[in-house]
Amino acid sequence: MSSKDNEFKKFFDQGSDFFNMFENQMKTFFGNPSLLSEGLSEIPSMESLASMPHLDNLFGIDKKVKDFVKASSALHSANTDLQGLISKSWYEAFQRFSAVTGDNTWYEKSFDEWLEYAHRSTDEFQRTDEFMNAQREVIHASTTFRNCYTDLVEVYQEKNNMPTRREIDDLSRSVYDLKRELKKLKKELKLSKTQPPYEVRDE
Amino acid sequence: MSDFQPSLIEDSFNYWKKFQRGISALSGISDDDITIGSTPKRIVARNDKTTLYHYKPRVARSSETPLLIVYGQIGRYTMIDLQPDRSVVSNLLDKGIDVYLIDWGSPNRSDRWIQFDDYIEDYLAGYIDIICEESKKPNVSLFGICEGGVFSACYAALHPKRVRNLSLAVTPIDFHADKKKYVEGQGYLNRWVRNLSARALNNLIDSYGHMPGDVIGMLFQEMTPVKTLTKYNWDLPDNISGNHEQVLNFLRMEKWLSDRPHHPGEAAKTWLVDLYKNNQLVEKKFKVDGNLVDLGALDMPILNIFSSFDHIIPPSTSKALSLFVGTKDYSELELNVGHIGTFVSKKANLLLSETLSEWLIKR
Repeated sequence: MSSKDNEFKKFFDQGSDFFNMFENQMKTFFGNPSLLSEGLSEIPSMESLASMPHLDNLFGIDKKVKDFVKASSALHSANTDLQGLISKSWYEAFQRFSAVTGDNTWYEKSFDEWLEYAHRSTDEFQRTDEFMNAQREVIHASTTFRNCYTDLVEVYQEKNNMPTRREIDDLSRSVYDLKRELKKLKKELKLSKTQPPYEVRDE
Repeated sequence: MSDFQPSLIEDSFNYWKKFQRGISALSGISDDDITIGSTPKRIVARNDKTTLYHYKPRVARSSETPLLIVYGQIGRYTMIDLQPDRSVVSNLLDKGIDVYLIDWGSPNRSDRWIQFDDYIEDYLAGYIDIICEESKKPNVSLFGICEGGVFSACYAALHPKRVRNLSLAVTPIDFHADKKKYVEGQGYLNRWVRNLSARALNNLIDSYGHMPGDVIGMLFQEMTPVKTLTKYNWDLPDNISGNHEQVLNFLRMEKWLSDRPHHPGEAAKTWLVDLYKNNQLVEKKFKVDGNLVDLGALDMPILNIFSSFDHIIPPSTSKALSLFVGTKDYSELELNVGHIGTFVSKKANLLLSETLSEWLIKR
Protein backbone atom coordinates (compact mmCIF):
# COMPACT_ATOMS: atom_id res chain seq x y z
CA MET A 1 0.00 0.00 0.00
CA SER A 2 1.25 3.50 -0.83
CA SER A 3 1.31 6.21 1.83
CA LYS A 4 -1.76 7.77 0.17
CA ASP A 5 -3.62 4.46 0.48
CA ASN A 6 -2.66 4.25 4.13
CA GLU A 7 -3.94 7.74 4.75
CA PHE A 8 -7.28 6.86 3.28
CA LYS A 9 -7.54 3.63 5.23
CA LYS A 10 -6.59 5.41 8.45
CA PHE A 11 -9.18 8.08 7.81
CA PHE A 12 -11.97 5.56 7.29
CA ASP A 13 -10.86 3.30 10.11
CA GLN A 14 -11.31 6.16 12.54
CA GLY A 15 -14.68 6.98 14.00
CA SER A 16 -17.32 4.47 14.92
CA ASP A 17 -15.38 1.21 14.77
CA PHE A 18 -17.16 -0.05 17.85
CA PHE A 19 -17.23 -3.70 16.91
CA ASN A 20 -13.50 -3.98 16.30
CA MET A 21 -12.89 -2.35 19.64
CA PHE A 22 -15.31 -4.76 21.32
CA GLU A 23 -13.68 -7.79 19.75
CA ASN A 24 -10.17 -6.62 20.67
CA GLN A 25 -11.22 -6.05 24.26
CA MET A 26 -12.77 -9.51 24.42
CA LYS A 27 -9.54 -11.00 23.06
CA THR A 28 -7.44 -9.09 25.57
CA PHE A 29 -9.70 -10.14 28.41
CA PHE A 30 -9.81 -13.83 27.57
CA GLY A 31 -6.24 -13.98 26.39
CA ASN A 32 -4.71 -12.50 29.54
CA PRO A 33 -4.89 -14.80 32.58
CA SER A 34 -3.89 -12.05 34.98
CA LEU A 35 -7.18 -10.33 34.31
CA LEU A 36 -9.14 -13.30 35.57
CA SER A 37 -9.33 -14.90 39.02
CA GLU A 38 -6.37 -16.93 40.26
CA GLY A 39 -8.46 -20.12 40.48
CA LEU A 40 -8.45 -20.51 36.71
CA SER A 41 -5.07 -21.82 35.71
CA GLU A 42 -5.67 -22.20 31.97
CA ILE A 43 -7.64 -19.64 30.08
CA PRO A 44 -8.71 -20.64 26.56
CA SER A 45 -8.08 -18.24 23.73
CA MET A 46 -10.93 -16.66 21.74
CA GLU A 47 -10.18 -19.05 18.85
CA SER A 48 -10.41 -22.17 21.03
CA LEU A 49 -13.64 -20.85 22.58
CA ALA A 50 -15.05 -20.54 19.11
CA SER A 51 -14.29 -24.18 18.32
CA MET A 52 -15.93 -25.50 21.50
CA PRO A 53 -19.21 -27.40 21.14
CA HIS A 54 -22.13 -24.99 20.97
CA LEU A 55 -25.37 -26.78 21.58
CA ASP A 56 -28.57 -24.78 21.95
CA ASN A 57 -28.42 -24.91 25.74
CA LEU A 58 -24.63 -24.78 25.99
CA PHE A 59 -23.14 -21.52 24.74
CA GLY A 60 -25.57 -21.59 21.79
CA ILE A 61 -26.67 -17.99 22.18
CA ASP A 62 -23.15 -16.87 23.09
CA LYS A 63 -21.85 -18.22 19.80
CA LYS A 64 -24.63 -16.51 17.88
CA VAL A 65 -23.81 -13.22 19.59
CA LYS A 66 -20.13 -13.72 18.88
CA ASP A 67 -20.84 -14.57 15.22
CA PHE A 68 -23.02 -11.50 14.90
CA VAL A 69 -20.36 -9.23 16.37
CA LYS A 70 -17.72 -10.79 14.14
CA ALA A 71 -19.94 -10.43 11.04
CA SER A 72 -20.70 -6.81 11.94
CA SER A 73 -17.01 -6.11 12.26
CA ALA A 74 -16.20 -7.85 8.97
CA LEU A 75 -18.97 -5.92 7.17
CA HIS A 76 -17.74 -2.64 8.61
CA SER A 77 -14.19 -3.43 7.54
CA ALA A 78 -15.21 -4.49 4.00
CA ASN A 79 -17.38 -1.37 3.64
CA THR A 80 -14.53 0.82 4.84
CA ASP A 81 -12.15 -0.70 2.30
CA LEU A 82 -14.65 -0.19 -0.55
CA GLN A 83 -15.53 3.36 0.49
CA GLY A 84 -11.83 4.14 0.84
CA LEU A 85 -11.17 2.93 -2.69
CA ILE A 86 -14.12 4.90 -4.07
CA SER A 87 -12.99 8.07 -2.28
CA LYS A 88 -9.46 7.56 -3.55
CA SER A 89 -10.69 7.23 -7.12
CA TRP A 90 -12.78 10.41 -6.75
CA TYR A 91 -9.82 12.27 -5.26
CA GLU A 92 -7.55 11.19 -8.09
CA ALA A 93 -10.19 12.06 -10.68
CA PHE A 94 -10.56 15.50 -9.11
CA GLN A 95 -6.79 16.05 -9.19
CA ARG A 96 -6.71 15.14 -12.88
CA PHE A 97 -9.70 17.37 -13.61
CA SER A 98 -8.24 20.33 -11.64
CA ALA A 99 -4.96 20.03 -13.50
CA VAL A 100 -6.80 20.52 -16.78
CA THR A 101 -9.31 23.21 -15.78
CA GLY A 102 -7.34 25.31 -13.26
CA ASP A 103 -8.71 26.94 -10.11
CA ASN A 104 -10.73 29.89 -11.35
CA THR A 105 -13.52 28.23 -13.26
CA TRP A 106 -15.94 27.14 -10.56
CA TYR A 107 -19.15 28.18 -12.19
CA GLU A 108 -22.30 26.11 -12.61
CA LYS A 109 -21.15 24.97 -16.06
CA SER A 110 -17.78 23.79 -14.84
CA PHE A 111 -19.37 21.96 -11.92
CA ASP A 112 -21.49 20.09 -14.46
CA GLU A 113 -18.30 19.37 -16.42
CA TRP A 114 -16.70 17.99 -13.26
CA LEU A 115 -19.71 15.73 -12.65
CA GLU A 116 -19.52 14.44 -16.21
CA TYR A 117 -15.79 13.83 -15.79
CA ALA A 118 -16.38 12.07 -12.44
CA HIS A 119 -19.09 9.93 -14.05
CA ARG A 120 -16.70 8.70 -16.75
CA SER A 121 -13.87 8.16 -14.23
CA THR A 122 -16.16 6.18 -11.91
CA ASP A 123 -17.33 4.02 -14.79
CA GLU A 124 -13.69 3.25 -15.61
CA PHE A 125 -12.81 2.63 -11.96
CA GLN A 126 -15.75 0.26 -11.49
CA ARG A 127 -14.15 -2.09 -14.02
CA THR A 128 -10.85 -2.44 -12.14
CA ASP A 129 -9.94 -5.62 -10.26
CA GLU A 130 -9.34 -3.50 -7.17
CA PHE A 131 -12.98 -2.34 -7.15
CA MET A 132 -14.43 -5.73 -8.13
CA ASN A 133 -12.54 -7.52 -5.32
CA ALA A 134 -13.58 -4.98 -2.70
CA GLN A 135 -17.18 -5.08 -3.89
CA ARG A 136 -17.20 -8.89 -3.76
CA GLU A 137 -15.97 -8.76 -0.15
CA VAL A 138 -18.75 -6.35 0.80
CA ILE A 139 -21.37 -8.64 -0.73
CA HIS A 140 -19.97 -11.69 1.10
CA ALA A 141 -19.76 -9.79 4.37
CA SER A 142 -23.28 -8.37 4.07
CA THR A 143 -24.72 -11.83 3.33
CA THR A 144 -22.97 -13.31 6.38
CA PHE A 145 -24.11 -10.38 8.50
CA ARG A 146 -27.76 -10.80 7.47
CA ASN A 147 -27.64 -14.53 8.21
CA CYS A 148 -26.05 -13.98 11.65
CA TYR A 149 -28.59 -11.27 12.44
CA THR A 150 -31.45 -13.61 11.46
CA ASP A 151 -30.01 -16.35 13.69
CA LEU A 152 -29.88 -13.96 16.60
CA VAL A 153 -33.40 -12.62 16.05
CA GLU A 154 -34.72 -16.16 15.85
CA VAL A 155 -33.36 -16.88 19.35
CA TYR A 156 -35.53 -14.03 20.63
CA GLN A 157 -38.53 -15.19 18.59
CA GLU A 158 -38.25 -18.77 19.84
CA LYS A 159 -37.91 -17.68 23.47
CA ASN A 160 -41.06 -15.59 23.06
CA ASN A 161 -43.21 -18.10 21.17
CA MET A 162 -43.14 -16.05 18.01
CA PRO A 163 -43.02 -17.65 14.54
CA THR A 164 -39.54 -17.51 13.04
CA ARG A 165 -38.66 -16.70 9.45
CA ARG A 166 -37.65 -20.31 8.83
CA GLU A 167 -41.00 -21.57 10.09
CA ILE A 168 -42.87 -19.16 7.82
CA ASP A 169 -40.64 -20.21 4.92
CA ASP A 170 -41.52 -23.85 5.64
CA LEU A 171 -45.21 -22.99 5.58
CA SER A 172 -45.01 -20.95 2.38
CA ARG A 173 -43.04 -23.79 0.77
CA SER A 174 -45.80 -26.25 1.66
CA VAL A 175 -48.45 -23.90 0.26
CA TYR A 176 -46.42 -23.43 -2.93
CA ASP A 177 -45.96 -27.20 -3.40
CA LEU A 178 -49.67 -27.85 -2.77
CA LYS A 179 -50.71 -25.11 -5.20
CA ARG A 180 -48.42 -26.52 -7.86
CA GLU A 181 -49.85 -29.98 -7.36
CA LEU A 182 -53.39 -28.60 -7.50
CA LYS A 183 -52.71 -26.68 -10.71
CA LYS A 184 -51.21 -29.78 -12.28
CA LEU A 185 -54.31 -31.79 -11.39
CA LYS A 186 -56.60 -29.03 -12.71
CA LYS A 187 -54.65 -28.98 -15.96
CA GLU A 188 -55.02 -32.74 -16.32
CA LEU A 189 -58.72 -32.40 -15.57
CA LYS A 190 -59.03 -29.66 -18.17
CA LEU A 191 -57.41 -31.85 -20.78
CA SER A 192 -59.99 -34.53 -20.07
CA LYS A 193 -63.01 -32.23 -19.67
CA THR A 194 -61.85 -29.07 -21.52
CA GLN A 195 -62.50 -27.03 -18.39
CA PRO A 196 -60.36 -23.87 -17.86
CA PRO A 197 -58.09 -24.12 -14.79
CA TYR A 198 -58.38 -20.41 -14.00
CA GLU A 199 -61.07 -18.19 -12.63
CA VAL A 200 -62.42 -16.34 -15.67
CA ARG A 201 -64.14 -13.04 -15.00
CA ASP A 202 -66.49 -11.06 -17.14
CA GLU A 203 -66.25 -7.40 -16.23
CA MET B 1 -9.87 35.42 -10.13
CA SER B 2 -11.64 38.63 -11.15
CA ASP B 3 -14.15 36.66 -13.26
CA PHE B 4 -14.75 34.19 -10.51
CA GLN B 5 -16.80 36.12 -7.95
CA PRO B 6 -19.48 37.69 -10.20
CA SER B 7 -20.15 34.39 -11.98
CA LEU B 8 -20.38 32.51 -8.75
CA ILE B 9 -22.90 35.00 -7.36
CA GLU B 10 -24.87 35.03 -10.60
CA ASP B 11 -24.86 31.22 -10.79
CA SER B 12 -25.97 30.91 -7.17
CA PHE B 13 -28.76 33.42 -7.75
CA ASN B 14 -29.99 31.62 -10.88
CA TYR B 15 -29.80 28.26 -9.13
CA TRP B 16 -31.83 29.59 -6.20
CA LYS B 17 -34.43 31.07 -8.58
CA LYS B 18 -34.74 27.70 -10.36
CA PHE B 19 -35.14 25.96 -7.01
CA GLN B 20 -37.86 28.41 -5.95
CA ARG B 21 -39.71 27.89 -9.24
CA GLY B 22 -39.51 24.13 -8.67
CA ILE B 23 -40.89 24.31 -5.14
CA SER B 24 -43.72 26.50 -6.33
CA ALA B 25 -44.46 24.02 -9.19
CA LEU B 26 -44.47 21.08 -6.75
CA SER B 27 -46.78 22.82 -4.32
CA GLY B 28 -49.49 22.96 -7.00
CA ILE B 29 -49.41 19.20 -7.63
CA SER B 30 -51.04 16.45 -5.54
CA ASP B 31 -50.56 12.68 -5.54
CA ASP B 32 -53.76 12.29 -7.56
CA ASP B 33 -52.24 14.28 -10.42
CA ILE B 34 -49.42 11.75 -10.87
CA THR B 35 -51.30 9.00 -12.65
CA ILE B 36 -49.53 6.20 -14.50
CA GLY B 37 -50.83 3.14 -16.35
CA SER B 38 -54.15 4.89 -16.90
CA THR B 39 -55.19 3.50 -20.32
CA PRO B 40 -58.62 1.83 -19.75
CA LYS B 41 -58.48 -1.96 -19.37
CA ARG B 42 -60.45 -4.80 -17.87
CA ILE B 43 -59.36 -7.77 -15.79
CA VAL B 44 -59.66 -10.98 -17.78
CA ALA B 45 -58.24 -13.48 -15.30
CA ARG B 46 -56.04 -13.87 -12.24
CA ASN B 47 -53.57 -16.56 -11.23
CA ASP B 48 -51.93 -16.19 -7.78
CA LYS B 49 -50.82 -12.54 -7.64
CA THR B 50 -50.64 -12.11 -11.41
CA THR B 51 -53.37 -10.53 -13.54
CA LEU B 52 -54.23 -10.68 -17.24
CA TYR B 53 -55.62 -7.41 -18.59
CA HIS B 54 -57.33 -6.63 -21.88
CA TYR B 55 -57.18 -3.02 -23.10
CA LYS B 56 -60.35 -1.40 -24.37
CA PRO B 57 -60.14 -1.19 -28.20
CA ARG B 58 -60.35 2.32 -29.72
CA VAL B 59 -60.58 1.69 -33.44
CA ALA B 60 -61.43 -1.20 -35.76
CA ARG B 61 -58.91 -4.04 -35.58
CA SER B 62 -56.07 -3.91 -38.07
CA SER B 63 -54.57 -7.23 -36.99
CA GLU B 64 -56.66 -10.32 -36.21
CA THR B 65 -54.13 -11.91 -33.89
CA PRO B 66 -54.19 -10.54 -30.33
CA LEU B 67 -50.96 -9.13 -28.94
CA LEU B 68 -49.87 -10.11 -25.43
CA ILE B 69 -47.38 -7.76 -23.77
CA VAL B 70 -45.08 -9.54 -21.31
CA TYR B 71 -43.10 -7.20 -19.07
CA GLY B 72 -40.46 -8.55 -16.66
CA GLN B 73 -40.75 -9.02 -12.92
CA ILE B 74 -38.01 -6.40 -12.51
CA GLY B 75 -39.89 -3.11 -12.56
CA ARG B 76 -43.56 -2.56 -13.27
CA TYR B 77 -45.47 -2.79 -16.57
CA THR B 78 -46.68 0.80 -16.11
CA MET B 79 -43.45 1.88 -17.85
CA ILE B 80 -45.09 1.19 -21.22
CA ASP B 81 -48.14 3.24 -20.26
CA LEU B 82 -46.47 5.95 -18.21
CA GLN B 83 -48.34 8.94 -19.57
CA PRO B 84 -51.04 9.37 -22.23
CA ASP B 85 -48.81 11.09 -24.81
CA ARG B 86 -45.94 8.60 -24.41
CA SER B 87 -47.73 5.30 -24.03
CA VAL B 88 -46.73 2.31 -26.13
CA VAL B 89 -50.04 0.67 -25.20
CA SER B 90 -52.01 3.72 -26.25
CA ASN B 91 -50.16 3.99 -29.57
CA LEU B 92 -50.79 0.32 -30.36
CA LEU B 93 -54.51 0.70 -29.59
CA ASP B 94 -54.67 3.72 -31.90
CA LYS B 95 -53.25 1.51 -34.67
CA GLY B 96 -55.98 -1.09 -34.18
CA ILE B 97 -53.94 -3.73 -32.33
CA ASP B 98 -55.86 -5.93 -29.86
CA VAL B 99 -53.72 -5.61 -26.72
CA TYR B 100 -53.53 -7.90 -23.67
CA LEU B 101 -50.98 -7.48 -20.86
CA ILE B 102 -49.74 -9.49 -17.88
CA ASP B 103 -49.20 -7.71 -14.57
CA TRP B 104 -46.95 -9.87 -12.39
CA GLY B 105 -48.25 -8.16 -9.26
CA SER B 106 -46.34 -7.60 -6.04
CA PRO B 107 -44.74 -10.81 -4.80
CA ASN B 108 -43.53 -10.89 -1.20
CA ARG B 109 -41.47 -13.33 0.86
CA SER B 110 -44.25 -15.91 0.82
CA ASP B 111 -43.74 -16.10 -2.97
CA ARG B 112 -40.03 -16.83 -2.68
CA TRP B 113 -40.50 -20.38 -4.04
CA ILE B 114 -42.02 -19.34 -7.37
CA GLN B 115 -39.72 -20.61 -10.10
CA PHE B 116 -38.72 -19.21 -13.47
CA ASP B 117 -40.56 -22.21 -14.96
CA ASP B 118 -43.81 -21.08 -13.30
CA TYR B 119 -43.64 -17.74 -15.10
CA ILE B 120 -43.44 -19.54 -18.43
CA GLU B 121 -45.42 -22.77 -18.11
CA ASP B 122 -48.00 -21.72 -15.54
CA TYR B 123 -48.72 -17.98 -15.78
CA LEU B 124 -47.75 -17.17 -19.37
CA ALA B 125 -48.96 -20.47 -20.88
CA GLY B 126 -52.20 -20.31 -18.89
CA TYR B 127 -52.97 -16.77 -19.99
CA ILE B 128 -52.19 -17.53 -23.63
CA ASP B 129 -54.72 -20.39 -23.43
CA ILE B 130 -57.31 -17.96 -22.07
CA ILE B 131 -56.62 -15.36 -24.78
CA CYS B 132 -56.89 -18.01 -27.48
CA GLU B 133 -60.19 -19.22 -26.01
CA GLU B 134 -61.56 -15.70 -25.62
CA SER B 135 -60.49 -14.49 -29.08
CA LYS B 136 -61.16 -17.84 -30.76
CA LYS B 137 -57.70 -17.76 -32.35
CA PRO B 138 -55.19 -20.61 -32.44
CA ASN B 139 -52.27 -18.38 -31.41
CA VAL B 140 -51.15 -14.96 -30.18
CA SER B 141 -48.40 -12.48 -30.97
CA LEU B 142 -46.01 -11.83 -28.10
CA PHE B 143 -44.23 -8.60 -27.20
CA GLY B 144 -41.70 -9.43 -24.46
CA ILE B 145 -39.78 -6.73 -22.65
CA CYS B 146 -36.46 -7.25 -20.82
CA GLU B 147 -36.89 -10.29 -18.53
CA GLY B 148 -40.37 -10.67 -20.03
CA GLY B 149 -38.63 -11.05 -23.37
CA VAL B 150 -36.78 -14.07 -22.03
CA PHE B 151 -40.05 -15.53 -20.71
CA SER B 152 -41.58 -14.95 -24.16
CA ALA B 153 -38.62 -16.36 -26.12
CA CYS B 154 -38.59 -19.50 -23.94
CA TYR B 155 -42.34 -19.99 -24.29
CA ALA B 156 -42.19 -19.45 -28.06
CA ALA B 157 -39.31 -21.93 -28.41
CA LEU B 158 -41.20 -24.54 -26.42
CA HIS B 159 -44.62 -23.89 -28.01
CA PRO B 160 -43.91 -22.42 -31.47
CA LYS B 161 -47.40 -23.15 -32.77
CA ARG B 162 -48.97 -20.98 -30.10
CA VAL B 163 -46.93 -17.90 -31.15
CA ARG B 164 -47.71 -16.27 -34.48
CA ASN B 165 -45.20 -13.42 -34.14
CA LEU B 166 -42.49 -12.81 -31.57
CA SER B 167 -41.29 -9.29 -30.82
CA LEU B 168 -38.74 -8.58 -28.12
CA ALA B 169 -37.53 -5.30 -26.68
CA VAL B 170 -34.30 -4.74 -24.71
CA THR B 171 -34.09 -8.48 -24.05
CA PRO B 172 -30.78 -10.15 -23.14
CA ILE B 173 -30.20 -13.43 -24.97
CA ASP B 174 -26.41 -13.91 -24.95
CA PHE B 175 -25.66 -12.68 -21.43
CA HIS B 176 -21.90 -12.74 -22.05
CA ALA B 177 -21.89 -10.85 -25.35
CA ASP B 178 -20.80 -7.68 -23.52
CA LYS B 179 -17.41 -9.33 -22.82
CA LYS B 180 -16.46 -9.25 -26.48
CA LYS B 181 -16.30 -5.46 -26.72
CA TYR B 182 -16.51 -2.97 -23.88
CA VAL B 183 -18.79 0.00 -24.50
CA GLU B 184 -18.52 2.89 -22.04
CA GLY B 185 -21.18 2.76 -19.35
CA GLN B 186 -22.54 -0.65 -20.31
CA GLY B 187 -22.47 -4.11 -18.77
CA TYR B 188 -22.22 -3.22 -15.05
CA LEU B 189 -24.87 -5.76 -14.05
CA ASN B 190 -23.29 -8.49 -16.22
CA ARG B 191 -19.89 -7.90 -14.59
CA TRP B 192 -21.44 -7.68 -11.11
CA VAL B 193 -22.97 -11.14 -11.51
CA ARG B 194 -19.87 -12.73 -13.08
CA ASN B 195 -17.76 -11.36 -10.22
CA LEU B 196 -19.63 -13.60 -7.77
CA SER B 197 -19.68 -17.38 -7.53
CA ALA B 198 -22.97 -19.23 -8.05
CA ARG B 199 -22.87 -20.12 -4.36
CA ALA B 200 -22.42 -16.49 -3.33
CA LEU B 201 -25.36 -15.43 -5.53
CA ASN B 202 -27.61 -18.17 -4.13
CA ASN B 203 -26.58 -17.29 -0.56
CA LEU B 204 -27.22 -13.61 -1.22
CA ILE B 205 -30.77 -14.30 -2.45
CA ASP B 206 -31.44 -16.81 0.34
CA SER B 207 -30.34 -14.29 2.96
CA TYR B 208 -33.21 -12.03 1.84
CA GLY B 209 -35.54 -14.86 0.80
CA HIS B 210 -36.14 -12.98 -2.45
CA MET B 211 -34.52 -10.14 -4.38
CA PRO B 212 -35.99 -7.08 -2.68
CA GLY B 213 -37.11 -4.33 -5.04
CA ASP B 214 -35.03 -1.72 -3.22
CA VAL B 215 -31.89 -3.86 -3.55
CA ILE B 216 -32.51 -4.19 -7.29
CA GLY B 217 -33.05 -0.42 -7.41
CA MET B 218 -29.80 0.15 -5.53
CA LEU B 219 -27.95 -2.02 -8.02
CA PHE B 220 -29.30 0.11 -10.87
CA GLN B 221 -28.25 3.27 -9.02
CA GLU B 222 -24.71 1.90 -8.63
CA MET B 223 -24.41 1.77 -12.42
CA THR B 224 -24.37 5.56 -12.55
CA PRO B 225 -23.18 6.62 -9.06
CA VAL B 226 -22.51 10.27 -9.92
CA LYS B 227 -25.94 10.76 -11.44
CA THR B 228 -27.47 9.00 -8.44
CA LEU B 229 -25.60 11.28 -6.03
CA THR B 230 -26.70 14.48 -7.72
CA LYS B 231 -30.23 13.56 -8.80
CA TYR B 232 -32.10 14.77 -5.72
CA ASN B 233 -29.92 17.80 -4.94
CA TRP B 234 -27.78 19.46 -7.63
CA ASP B 235 -29.92 18.31 -10.54
CA LEU B 236 -33.29 18.59 -8.77
CA PRO B 237 -34.05 22.25 -9.64
CA ASP B 238 -33.63 21.42 -13.34
CA ASN B 239 -36.14 18.58 -13.04
CA ILE B 240 -38.84 20.43 -11.15
CA SER B 241 -38.59 23.95 -12.55
CA GLY B 242 -40.02 23.33 -16.04
CA ASN B 243 -43.63 23.81 -17.06
CA HIS B 244 -46.47 21.88 -15.41
CA GLU B 245 -46.35 18.96 -17.88
CA GLN B 246 -42.56 18.62 -17.62
CA VAL B 247 -42.75 18.46 -13.83
CA LEU B 248 -45.54 15.89 -14.02
CA ASN B 249 -43.45 13.78 -16.40
CA PHE B 250 -40.56 13.83 -13.91
CA LEU B 251 -42.89 12.86 -11.07
CA ARG B 252 -44.48 10.04 -13.08
CA MET B 253 -41.05 8.53 -13.64
CA GLU B 254 -40.28 8.92 -9.92
CA LYS B 255 -43.54 7.17 -9.09
CA TRP B 256 -42.57 4.30 -11.36
CA LEU B 257 -39.06 4.11 -9.88
CA SER B 258 -40.33 3.97 -6.31
CA ASP B 259 -42.73 1.12 -7.11
CA ARG B 260 -40.19 -1.63 -7.77
CA PRO B 261 -41.60 -5.08 -6.96
CA HIS B 262 -39.63 -7.81 -5.19
CA HIS B 263 -38.43 -10.69 -7.34
CA PRO B 264 -39.29 -14.21 -6.08
CA GLY B 265 -36.09 -15.87 -4.78
CA GLU B 266 -36.02 -19.12 -6.74
CA ALA B 267 -36.82 -17.36 -10.02
CA ALA B 268 -34.15 -14.76 -9.24
CA LYS B 269 -31.57 -17.54 -8.79
CA THR B 270 -32.38 -18.86 -12.27
CA TRP B 271 -32.22 -15.34 -13.72
CA LEU B 272 -28.88 -14.48 -12.13
CA VAL B 273 -27.08 -17.82 -11.91
CA ASP B 274 -28.35 -19.93 -14.83
CA LEU B 275 -28.81 -17.07 -17.29
CA TYR B 276 -26.63 -14.10 -16.33
CA LYS B 277 -23.73 -16.10 -14.92
CA ASN B 278 -23.82 -19.42 -16.75
CA ASN B 279 -25.36 -18.10 -19.99
CA GLN B 280 -27.37 -21.32 -20.35
CA LEU B 281 -29.79 -19.97 -22.96
CA VAL B 282 -27.21 -19.73 -25.74
CA GLU B 283 -25.17 -22.64 -24.34
CA LYS B 284 -28.25 -24.78 -25.10
CA LYS B 285 -28.45 -25.94 -21.49
CA PHE B 286 -31.46 -23.98 -20.24
CA LYS B 287 -34.44 -26.07 -19.26
CA VAL B 288 -38.00 -25.11 -18.39
CA ASP B 289 -39.99 -27.78 -16.55
CA GLY B 290 -37.36 -30.28 -17.66
CA ASN B 291 -37.61 -29.34 -21.35
CA LEU B 292 -34.56 -27.93 -23.12
CA VAL B 293 -35.09 -24.48 -24.63
CA ASP B 294 -33.77 -24.52 -28.19
CA LEU B 295 -33.73 -21.02 -29.69
CA GLY B 296 -33.42 -22.69 -33.09
CA ALA B 297 -37.09 -23.66 -32.69
CA LEU B 298 -38.04 -19.98 -33.02
CA ASP B 299 -39.34 -20.26 -36.58
CA MET B 300 -42.01 -17.52 -36.41
CA PRO B 301 -41.42 -13.92 -37.61
CA ILE B 302 -39.22 -12.08 -35.10
CA LEU B 303 -38.77 -8.36 -34.46
CA ASN B 304 -35.85 -7.59 -32.13
CA ILE B 305 -35.76 -4.07 -30.64
CA PHE B 306 -32.78 -2.76 -28.66
CA SER B 307 -31.23 0.57 -27.75
CA SER B 308 -27.69 1.77 -28.45
CA PHE B 309 -27.25 3.51 -25.08
CA ASP B 310 -28.85 0.86 -22.91
CA HIS B 311 -26.61 0.65 -19.82
CA ILE B 312 -28.73 -2.09 -18.22
CA ILE B 313 -29.05 -4.51 -21.14
CA PRO B 314 -26.06 -3.98 -23.46
CA PRO B 315 -27.34 -4.02 -27.06
CA SER B 316 -24.81 -6.70 -27.97
CA THR B 317 -26.56 -9.13 -25.60
CA SER B 318 -29.87 -8.54 -27.42
CA LYS B 319 -28.51 -8.44 -30.98
CA ALA B 320 -27.04 -11.91 -30.46
CA LEU B 321 -30.54 -13.36 -30.90
CA SER B 322 -30.09 -13.32 -34.69
CA LEU B 323 -27.30 -15.90 -34.38
CA PHE B 324 -29.45 -18.52 -32.72
CA VAL B 325 -32.98 -18.33 -34.15
CA GLY B 326 -34.41 -20.66 -36.79
CA THR B 327 -36.62 -18.13 -38.59
CA LYS B 328 -35.91 -16.52 -41.96
CA ASP B 329 -38.19 -13.58 -41.16
CA TYR B 330 -35.97 -11.72 -38.67
CA SER B 331 -35.82 -7.94 -38.37
CA GLU B 332 -34.24 -5.46 -35.99
CA LEU B 333 -34.92 -1.96 -34.77
CA GLU B 334 -32.11 -0.08 -33.05
CA LEU B 335 -33.09 3.05 -31.11
CA ASN B 336 -30.66 5.79 -30.08
CA VAL B 337 -31.76 5.91 -26.45
CA GLY B 338 -31.19 4.14 -23.13
CA HIS B 339 -33.08 1.26 -21.50
CA ILE B 340 -36.02 3.24 -20.15
CA GLY B 341 -35.84 5.81 -22.96
CA THR B 342 -36.92 2.99 -25.29
CA PHE B 343 -40.43 3.40 -23.88
CA VAL B 344 -40.61 6.96 -22.56
CA SER B 345 -38.56 9.04 -24.99
CA LYS B 346 -41.12 10.80 -27.17
CA LYS B 347 -39.29 10.04 -30.42
CA ALA B 348 -38.21 6.47 -29.58
CA ASN B 349 -41.60 5.59 -28.17
CA LEU B 350 -43.34 6.65 -31.38
CA LEU B 351 -40.84 4.89 -33.62
CA LEU B 352 -41.11 1.70 -31.56
CA SER B 353 -44.92 1.75 -31.59
CA GLU B 354 -45.16 2.49 -35.30
CA THR B 355 -42.58 -0.13 -36.28
CA LEU B 356 -44.18 -2.77 -34.07
CA SER B 357 -47.76 -2.09 -35.20
CA GLU B 358 -46.84 -2.01 -38.92
CA TRP B 359 -44.80 -5.20 -38.47
CA LEU B 360 -47.75 -6.92 -36.78
CA ILE B 361 -50.31 -5.70 -39.31
CA LYS B 362 -48.21 -7.05 -42.22
CA ARG B 363 -48.04 -10.45 -40.56
